[in-house]
Amino acid sequence: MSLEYNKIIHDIERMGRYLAYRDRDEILAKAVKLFKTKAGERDFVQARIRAVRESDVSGYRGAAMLAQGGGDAVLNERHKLSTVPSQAVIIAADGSQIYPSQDASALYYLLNIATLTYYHGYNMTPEPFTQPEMFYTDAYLLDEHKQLISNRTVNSRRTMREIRLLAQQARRFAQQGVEHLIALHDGNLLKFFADSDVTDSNTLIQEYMALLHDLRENQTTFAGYIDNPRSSYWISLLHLLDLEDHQITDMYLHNNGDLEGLTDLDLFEEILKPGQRTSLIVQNSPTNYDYKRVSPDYEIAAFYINTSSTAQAHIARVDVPMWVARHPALIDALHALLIAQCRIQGIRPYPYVLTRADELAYVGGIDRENVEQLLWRELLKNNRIKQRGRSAKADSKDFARETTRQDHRLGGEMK
Amino acid sequence: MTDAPEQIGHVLRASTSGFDFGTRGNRINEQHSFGSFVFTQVAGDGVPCYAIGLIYAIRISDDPFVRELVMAEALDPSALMDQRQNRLIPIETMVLNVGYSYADGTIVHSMPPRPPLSLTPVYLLEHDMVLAFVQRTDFFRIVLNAGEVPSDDLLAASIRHCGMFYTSETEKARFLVRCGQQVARLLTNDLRRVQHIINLIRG
Repeated sequence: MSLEYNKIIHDIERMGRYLAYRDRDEILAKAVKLFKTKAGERDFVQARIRAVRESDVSGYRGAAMLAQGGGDAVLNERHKLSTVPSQAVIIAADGSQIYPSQDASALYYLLNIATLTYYHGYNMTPEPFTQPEMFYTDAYLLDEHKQLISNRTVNSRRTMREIRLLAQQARRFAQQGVEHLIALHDGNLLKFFADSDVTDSNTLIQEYMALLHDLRENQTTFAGYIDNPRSSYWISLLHLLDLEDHQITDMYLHNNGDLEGLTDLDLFEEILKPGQRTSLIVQNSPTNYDYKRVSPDYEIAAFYINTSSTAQAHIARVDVPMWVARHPALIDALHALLIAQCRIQGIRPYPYVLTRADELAYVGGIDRENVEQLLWRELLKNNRIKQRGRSAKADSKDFARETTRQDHRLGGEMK
Repeated sequence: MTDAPEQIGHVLRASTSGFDFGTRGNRINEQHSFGSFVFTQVAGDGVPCYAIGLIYAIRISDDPFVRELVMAEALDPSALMDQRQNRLIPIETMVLNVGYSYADGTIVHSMPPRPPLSLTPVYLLEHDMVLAFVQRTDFFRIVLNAGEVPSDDLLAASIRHCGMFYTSETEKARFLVRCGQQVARLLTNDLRRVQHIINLIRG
């Protein structure tokens, strides 16, 4: 009689999960041990970083210590929460878009950028601001080969407008002499505009550098907030520290060896207690090196924080440019203010300002349809209705049918 | 109607028996109360006609964000100001139509001929118009017979509300007695309910 597989299939599934977890637990334990031991040996860490930087090894993309005179003294230190500054101005920006579509009434894209300015300790109502803008001329829509720009280009331009708006708002408060001025961006600060899919990437990079200059001149604590980060800078560093000297080659560094599959989030869920942060690191990458070549102040550093107030850790990564990272007082203030912001939302620890900026910027499906309808009417008035694609009749019917109304409850029924 | 009445919202949905109107959270005040008289223009291009109603329910909607903030250990004061003043938290107010009027001052205690259209402005009925409206108490029957409405409490609240507009205590007492007598006449077979409403009017 053959084995009845259907009776053991659930056992096999459970066994698979058990083995996966057992292995994961083992490699996580190894990572934690490396963090607590070798990552604390400053000279050893520096020697290993020097080894990958000064040799012909090119594949190391992990964490590195900050240059002499900046950042935290001990790499594996866990930093407790400092006192929250009594007053601070926190500006957060976010953006949303409607991508150009061949199916739309006309070719255009829309960017909606929003900021929320939060007056911590001032007893003032936070200040929302939105900046929607439509782009419909060939100069915006077509690349150098007269092809429609990619969605990645739209995303990059949106990101640049978010940061530009942050810089503009920050300048206003800097002129008022605000002591703690935080400009918070939703996302990382190492921008990869150099992608071949992004039109005018060089212009975007130059503008980003100009905005970094602006933010630095206004003494703004510029920070990028990455919730649930997928990065593995630290895991790559721990792998590097675990290698033998002769193993420091591209062959061993093309992945994270025994620690492959782990992320920094996995590690710091184990390491960081509620409210704690890690020491500052920089990512060893060509992009970061390019930033540093423009100005040592523009190199991007990062730390991880556990934003949770319960035993269930919630990890975020915070990117900061070097002009911020060099000043422990600024980092302590940023750390404390971010945790205070996360506490506002209770069980979902995420900065309140970023949640509101996202809410203000969000362009939902109904908004898209409304923009499309308004545009359609204007085109109709100007006899510019496009002949191809869906008919105006079909679009109009959809619009009317999707408008659901709620009946008045009393509905004429009287006793 | 009277000059420059206070606008308190816009019609969301309506029928001849009543309407719901919406307003922003930061627009609500002490006049925006259960039992207050409001009016709005009903649909139609002819002689202007205004539905007069009583506020019988006020609902403040939540959303996932508000529910999340409620779960926080302490409500942050700046976040509270932001939620109340910047976010579009709609307040929905339900109104029972109890009469209608024309521009020449004619008042009818019955349901209006047509409902108002969506987004028509809604105003508080000014004191003199309220006192003119309650010269007669025929609308009591509409309130007492309305379904899905806390009739007894609504009638008592509206009577108390009107009572506040009398400057003379004698006139106020006379008005309240007249109202009590009318309630007793309408509910002759339900003395417990009469007693309950009179107790509510006395407060």
